[in-house]
Amino acid sequence: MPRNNAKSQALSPFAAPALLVLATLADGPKHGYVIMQEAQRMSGQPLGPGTLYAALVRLERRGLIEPLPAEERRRPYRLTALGATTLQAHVDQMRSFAHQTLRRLEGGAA
Amino acid sequence: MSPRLLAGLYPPAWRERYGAEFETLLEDHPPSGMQVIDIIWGALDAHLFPQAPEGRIVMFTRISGVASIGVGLALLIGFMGFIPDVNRYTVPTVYVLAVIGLIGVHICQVAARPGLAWFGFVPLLLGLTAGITSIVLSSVGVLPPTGGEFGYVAGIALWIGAAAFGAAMLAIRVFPMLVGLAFSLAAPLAMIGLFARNAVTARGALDIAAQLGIVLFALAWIGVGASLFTRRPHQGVLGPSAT
Repeated sequence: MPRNNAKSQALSPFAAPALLVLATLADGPKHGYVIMQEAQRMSGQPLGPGTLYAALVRLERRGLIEPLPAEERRRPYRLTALGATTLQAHVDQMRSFAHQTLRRLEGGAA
Repeated sequence: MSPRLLAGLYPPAWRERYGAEFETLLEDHPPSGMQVIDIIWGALDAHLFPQAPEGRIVMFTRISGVASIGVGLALLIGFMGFIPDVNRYTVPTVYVLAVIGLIGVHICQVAARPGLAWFGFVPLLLGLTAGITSIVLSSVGVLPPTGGEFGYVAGIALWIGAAAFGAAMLAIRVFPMLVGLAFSLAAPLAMIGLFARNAVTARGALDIAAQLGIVLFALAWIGVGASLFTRRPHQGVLGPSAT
């Protein structure tokens, strides 16, 4: 059963891979290999199968993603409503951070 | 390495849920050398931090198990290191390591079944304090390398704590009886051997008692570790009665 309290929604200590997996699923369900490819395309860093499944297991446990019926032994995953909300919150936070950092950089350079 | 072999590195519960899709992924896209290392790391993570509902219990007991085995091996290494000539920091460091480990496993035991296990805490905390103090003071030259009186206090506290721990284990039957017996016997053997040998001239038998006690103590730790590591979730935190 997914844990829905605020603490369990924190993505640490697997923040980077988990966030990447959530991001790859933002536009629809995908199975393992496609997630790995998309994650590498988005981040520029390879995502290994061990790290991928460590993240998938945690995200599923927290109710942020859910498995769909297997297609020829390949199981796609999709974001849950909670997963979409959590991802949105993280992206908003990152956008705010990036915006403030850019403003400081521009102010410092001036 | 074959996908089945790589998937076999993961715990059975994990394989039951994710094994088929994981093997399919590896069959379709054979992993590179770096990816094999990543999979081994992922399997270790799955063993140490299982995400099943009972995962926290399993994680807790397995980490305790690994820590206990580590303390046992450290004791054995430390023991072998100080037989010919007492190394400056070996004895106090081994004491402190052992006391920290003992307190950790003790906390597990108290969480499972309070009662007799509490008795071990006072000497263990005293031993930890005295052990750290002896290391600090001997490192700055205030005390001799063995830690002087503080070293003795740490040692006595450790053995009393170990004996209480062994007695508690025998009483509540959380660990195998042999492990409890090893702890209970190790403490008096080592304590008598280590501290009485300074007061007599014929030290042969006392030296053997001390050495036997230390080895027994180290083996008891390894026994605790193996017992914890192989414990199943349905056996509770530390035993069937804790569920």
